[in-house]
Amino acid sequence: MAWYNEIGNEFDTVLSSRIRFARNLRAYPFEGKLTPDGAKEIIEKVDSAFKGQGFKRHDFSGGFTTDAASLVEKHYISREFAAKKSPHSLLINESTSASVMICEEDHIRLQTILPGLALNEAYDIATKYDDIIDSSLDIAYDEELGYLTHCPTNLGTGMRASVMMFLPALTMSGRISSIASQLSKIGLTMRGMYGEGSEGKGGIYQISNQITLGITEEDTIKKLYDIIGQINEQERKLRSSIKGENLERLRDTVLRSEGILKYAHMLSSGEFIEHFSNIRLGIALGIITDISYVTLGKLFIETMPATLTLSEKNAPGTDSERDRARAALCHSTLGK
Amino acid sequence: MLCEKCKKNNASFFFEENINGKKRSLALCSECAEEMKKNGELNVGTSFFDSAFIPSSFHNDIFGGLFSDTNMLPKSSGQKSCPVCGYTFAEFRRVGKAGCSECYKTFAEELAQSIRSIHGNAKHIGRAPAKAKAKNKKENELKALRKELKAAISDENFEQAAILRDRIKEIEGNM
Ligand SMILES: [Zn+2]
Ligand SMILES: [Zn+2]
Repeated sequence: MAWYNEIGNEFDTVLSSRIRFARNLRAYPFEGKLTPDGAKEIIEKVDSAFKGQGFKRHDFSGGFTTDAASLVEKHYISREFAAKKSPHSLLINESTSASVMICEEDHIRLQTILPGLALNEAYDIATKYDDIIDSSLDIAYDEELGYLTHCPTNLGTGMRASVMMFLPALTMSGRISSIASQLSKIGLTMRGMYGEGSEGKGGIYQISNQITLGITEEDTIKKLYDIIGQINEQERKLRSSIKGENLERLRDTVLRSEGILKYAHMLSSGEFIEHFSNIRLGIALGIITDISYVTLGKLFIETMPATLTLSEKNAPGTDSERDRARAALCHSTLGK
Repeated sequence: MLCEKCKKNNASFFFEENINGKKRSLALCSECAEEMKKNGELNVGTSFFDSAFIPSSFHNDIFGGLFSDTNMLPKSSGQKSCPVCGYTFAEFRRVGKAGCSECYKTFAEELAQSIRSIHGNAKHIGRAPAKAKAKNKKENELKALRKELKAAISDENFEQAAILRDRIKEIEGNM
């Protein structure tokens, strides 16, 4: 089952956990120097390494499509991968917990994604597939620099471990930027997942490791668990003090948002995220009991522009048609 | 990624159009998208995906700016080029990324400082390909055996030294 269809650990504050490994074949140059034929050879080699592992292959070329945009919205591929014009392919397993971008910035970007706080579990799955890569392909590696990657920022382990966090109370209190600057001092980064600028729309942030050289994968993950534990504690403390001091106002905000998602006739994605955030906080604090995390989380993905466009029989072409379709989906999911 | 029209700003709109089954895609910055819309260069029925709702990608391109201090570079850097991919150091600097894995060996001297400024003064620890791990194990074994050999010779234990020498030769032969 897809990560956004399931409940996970620490789900009141952590939406998903993700591990990504960058790997490159020694025999081929990196993106930029790689020919289309070279890219096709790499795709075949990686594909055959994963034969029998239950992965499905999708081939892309020629730039951004609605299908690719939907995969970006579901966090299975990167924006850069979706927009590439040279040959590139995606392998994805049946549960969608593991995927392999072939010929992204690096030849291989192996990713595992799970709901809630589950970095250790995601890491275990990732290493299993990394062993398969290692046993069948000659991977570029150096004793000093570790895994050799296109961009020097990924040298060493080539690993990005990240969690998507839901921090509405810390956002409201304005404490996010001070947390972000503290994290950068210890080799971690935090940024808004949606929208531009440092404040994440809907209070959704991604926290990940910045440093990949001179620290083991296990220590990187341990550091993230430590920090997430501390952030969780602050967020929960703030939530309960908001609830304690301003319960009536909070209840009003949450229920207004519920009303809008249930009965609005048109909804933009920006508006959706704002009300999503209020309702999710309402669920976490027990104000809303008839909507589940999973129902709301599924709606979050299904109302994204490209995913929404793909799901409608008469694909909405204009913004206002899409806003209408989004509102209709919210109504039919929540409004009964 | 960069806007495909002005090639200056970051693209924040992704657009796909379908004319008689022929698909075309464009990534544009907000200014260029606005301009094309005004000039009627984007056909009706095209769809825009506001990038605000497309998760931003993982890595950040902090590398490009780190080569600013050219005085720190070895003198020979100008002419050097990678024997495998042909990258010159100037190209590496401009792009901020390697042309191939061999580039890291070719430009090791030039890169050392930049890599330190990203990751600190560090050597890789952590996962490694099985082949590299096996090689490492052998190298450590050799180191230990050579130490034993030295000790055996200084103790005038020549019988033991001969055994150790054979063992070292055997491992070296396998590498
Ligand atoms: Zn532009
Ligand atoms: Zn090279």
